[in-house]
Amino acid sequence: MQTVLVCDDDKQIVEAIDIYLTGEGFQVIKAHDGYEALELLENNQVDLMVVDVMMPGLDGIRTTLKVRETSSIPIIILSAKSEDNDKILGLNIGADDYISKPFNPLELVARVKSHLRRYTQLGNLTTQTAENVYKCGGLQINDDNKEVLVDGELIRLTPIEYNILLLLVKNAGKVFSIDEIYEQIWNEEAIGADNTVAVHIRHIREKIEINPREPRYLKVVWGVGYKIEKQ
Amino acid sequence: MKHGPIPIAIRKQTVIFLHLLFLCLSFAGITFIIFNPNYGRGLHWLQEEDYADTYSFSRQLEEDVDNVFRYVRYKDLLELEGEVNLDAEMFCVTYNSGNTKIYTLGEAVSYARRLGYYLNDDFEVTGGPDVHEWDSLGPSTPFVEWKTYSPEETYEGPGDGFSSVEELSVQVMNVLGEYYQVRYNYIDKPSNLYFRVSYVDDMGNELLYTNAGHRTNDELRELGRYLYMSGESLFVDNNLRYIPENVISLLSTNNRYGNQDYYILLAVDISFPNPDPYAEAQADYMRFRTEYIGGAIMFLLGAAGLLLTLVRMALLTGHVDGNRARIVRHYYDQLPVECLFVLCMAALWLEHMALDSVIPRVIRLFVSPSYQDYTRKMIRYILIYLILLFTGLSILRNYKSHTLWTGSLICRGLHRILPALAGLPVPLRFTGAFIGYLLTDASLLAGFYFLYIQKESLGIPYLYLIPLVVLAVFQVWIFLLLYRSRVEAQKIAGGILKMSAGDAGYKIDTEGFSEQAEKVSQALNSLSDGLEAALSEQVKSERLKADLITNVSHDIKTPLTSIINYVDLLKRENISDPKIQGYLDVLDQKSQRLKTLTEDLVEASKASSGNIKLEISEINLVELVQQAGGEFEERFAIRHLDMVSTLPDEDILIAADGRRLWRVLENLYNNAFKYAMENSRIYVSVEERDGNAYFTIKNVSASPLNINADELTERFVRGDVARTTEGSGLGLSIAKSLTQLQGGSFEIYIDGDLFKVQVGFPSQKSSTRI
Repeated sequence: MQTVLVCDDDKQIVEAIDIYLTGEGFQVIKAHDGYEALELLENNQVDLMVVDVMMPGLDGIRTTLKVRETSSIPIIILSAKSEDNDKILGLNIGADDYISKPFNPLELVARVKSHLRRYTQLGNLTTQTAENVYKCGGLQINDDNKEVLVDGELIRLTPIEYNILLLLVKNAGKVFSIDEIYEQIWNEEAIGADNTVAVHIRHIREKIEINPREPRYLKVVWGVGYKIEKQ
Repeated sequence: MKHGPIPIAIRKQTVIFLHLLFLCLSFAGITFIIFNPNYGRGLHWLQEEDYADTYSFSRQLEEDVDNVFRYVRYKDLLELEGEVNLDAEMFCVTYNSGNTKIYTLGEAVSYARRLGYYLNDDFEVTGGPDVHEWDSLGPSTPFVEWKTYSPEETYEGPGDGFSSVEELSVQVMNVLGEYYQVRYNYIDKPSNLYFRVSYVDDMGNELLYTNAGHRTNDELRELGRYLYMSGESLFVDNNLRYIPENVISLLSTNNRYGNQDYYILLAVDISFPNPDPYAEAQADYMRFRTEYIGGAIMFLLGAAGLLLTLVRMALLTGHVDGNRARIVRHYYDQLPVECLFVLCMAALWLEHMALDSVIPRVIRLFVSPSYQDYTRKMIRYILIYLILLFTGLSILRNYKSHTLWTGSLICRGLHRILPALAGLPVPLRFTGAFIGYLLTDASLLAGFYFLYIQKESLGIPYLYLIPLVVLAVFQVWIFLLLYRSRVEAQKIAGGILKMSAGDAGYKIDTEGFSEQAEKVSQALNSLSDGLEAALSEQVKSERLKADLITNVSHDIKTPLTSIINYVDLLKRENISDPKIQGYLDVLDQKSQRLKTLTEDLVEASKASSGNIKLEISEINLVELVQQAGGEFEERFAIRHLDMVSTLPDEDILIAADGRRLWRVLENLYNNAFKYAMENSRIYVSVEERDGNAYFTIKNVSASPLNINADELTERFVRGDVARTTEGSGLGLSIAKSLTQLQGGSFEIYIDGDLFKVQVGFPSQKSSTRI
């Protein structure tokens, strides 16, 4: 059984998260400030930590920094601050994910699962490098059997969606405009192309992302095109 | 400045006394200089010149040359072995009777002496008979056969050759006198002039005339100044400044041999050991020199002292012991400055009159004639100086006590007139001022004309120039006034334009402004102060408001998280009661809406206060609209909305923040999604027009739009009917703010139920699709 440490000064939120995670079969350790969390981390085997930013005593940012001195477990920051700057700060100091309050409980659970899968299972798979296998963080495409795995979970895509994703993953980091994608996939000139590509992209995002509005892999560069974030 | 225990009154008296003393000193110096024979020659002669270089020296030398050659001429005639030869024949006459008689020197002299002629101390012929015997040309006027002392004399006309013996004897006596004079002055008495004249005939016999004794020519040259000239050379060997002009001709005319073998050497011992005209002149020269230098020094000292005491006087005048700021004015200082001028003029006139009448007579009593004119001038200058000094000090005291202008008649007059003028309306005042200007010009010109016509009778030269100068100064003054007023107007206008253009903190530089313009400028400056303060206050309060909203929303989010989570948990408890399920749905819906509301609230406040960091880059509007279409196409399908896109084939590039612009489009699409009538079409188009790229979205509203287009973007405003639906009511407001922040335009058009939004951006460039 995997153990998740949840730390928030609001007891009801900790309670709610406890209920959701326990329901999904996790063991939950509860803390209400940074010091308590650090102490529990020392005395328990913890696989993942969810931490609030604004807490009395040691805040979430400093707690994360402390944890990162000794451990590399996934850390998800949970915060009422939803500005870009706050997110960037959190991710830069070593957190793996940033969820702003109020959050969708299901999304939180999905993310916890995803991080744990990557941390425990996929962490060891890095040596397995077959030909025609493209990896990008938790996203993995095996072109031989046309399989797409996100955090180890098989995803079903239509052929066009698969081709688009493959194109983007093969050229991770490069931005493709709608016209470029259309010409590469359909092999014909894009004249008066409608919303087809954009709709497909949206479908792919809905399938491979936990929160399609805040994608981790397939990013929209507004007014320019789409790209797979290089990880 | 020393504020010792000496009282100011004593210091003042001392300074005045010293001033008068220096005045006398400098005038004494001037007197010395003016009456010096060297006056008018500048100063360089003091340094460069010796007596032997002067013109008077050269005149003396020239005179001596004459004397020397007289001696040359008469020596052989009158002298025999160093003594005067009384038997020397002087002239020969033939009487009417036919008798011829030769007179010797002795006979001629005794004849003259018998008639009463004699030589005085200066060897000049004086005396004579009481009654002349010029009866006729009869027996006493014989025909002159020859004269040894004047052999070259010829007779051309009839009667020329007749002369009385008396006359001839006097001539002989004159010759003898001249001879004696040279002999006495240069030979018998030691002289500072040495001469040696030598003529050598072809046989080698030398005629030598000298007073130099045995000294050699070189020794003579050593004495100082010399002149050597020989018959063989055209050059005059000398070290004189001026060569005596007569020496050359005299030397050759006295040559009896007609050859070139002769020379003259003149030498002057410039130590002047012997008392003679040279020594006297040298002594005089040295005295003049000393006097001149002394005079110059006195004058300079006097002038410096005058200046110093004048400054001191200017500093002291008006002050009294104790209070430094207090200025005491004499009773006459309290007169207006114009009266002072009139008094000054009167004093000058009196002085002029007195110098024309009384004073010259007094002068004549005491002063010798040659100095009278000078004394008169001196007194005149001193009087004028004192009058001006007196006036100047009075003006200075008035200046110090700041009563110069305020006490003047003009000022007092203006103070009477100006208040009356100030009441007049501006056009009248301006016209009056202009007429005044014209009148002033006209009267000055008239004054010039009058004085010019009358210049002969007035006697004062160039008086007519005064009105011209005043006229010129007046024009310059008027020009400066106009110029300043123009510059002021320009500056003020520039300041107003700047302020209205948004530079609220602009300040007008009032340096050099007139009183009125400065008042206006300062009023403007304080306006700008107020404006600036208000603006910065506004910015500050906007920021505070945004911060407050952000903080409040953070605080709301935490409890909201619990509400959402626990509503969700409740829904998972299999509640069968449809009533409770209905309540739960409401809770779920409202808590979700609260969530949207808090998020939108933060964004709206930030967007409207400009408190957002934009990442402007070049993006393709067409691509963005396609992407947005992809995001919304399926959502529209839920409400059976059909999206009709009209997009150009080529890219349209604009400078914007892609993520923020997506937020704009998202809000617009959401708006259409929420409020468009079901089963209708939503038209989306992108076009480029006049260098601008426009995105337009049109839909038909589900409910009547009974609202103003402008009001729609006011925060929290929605169509009445829409109030119950999902949304914060901030969507359009956020979209508009974000668009404007990125430099775009955002227009809403409402036509019946047709709702249309147009977003415009300046397009960068368009490239045709390959």
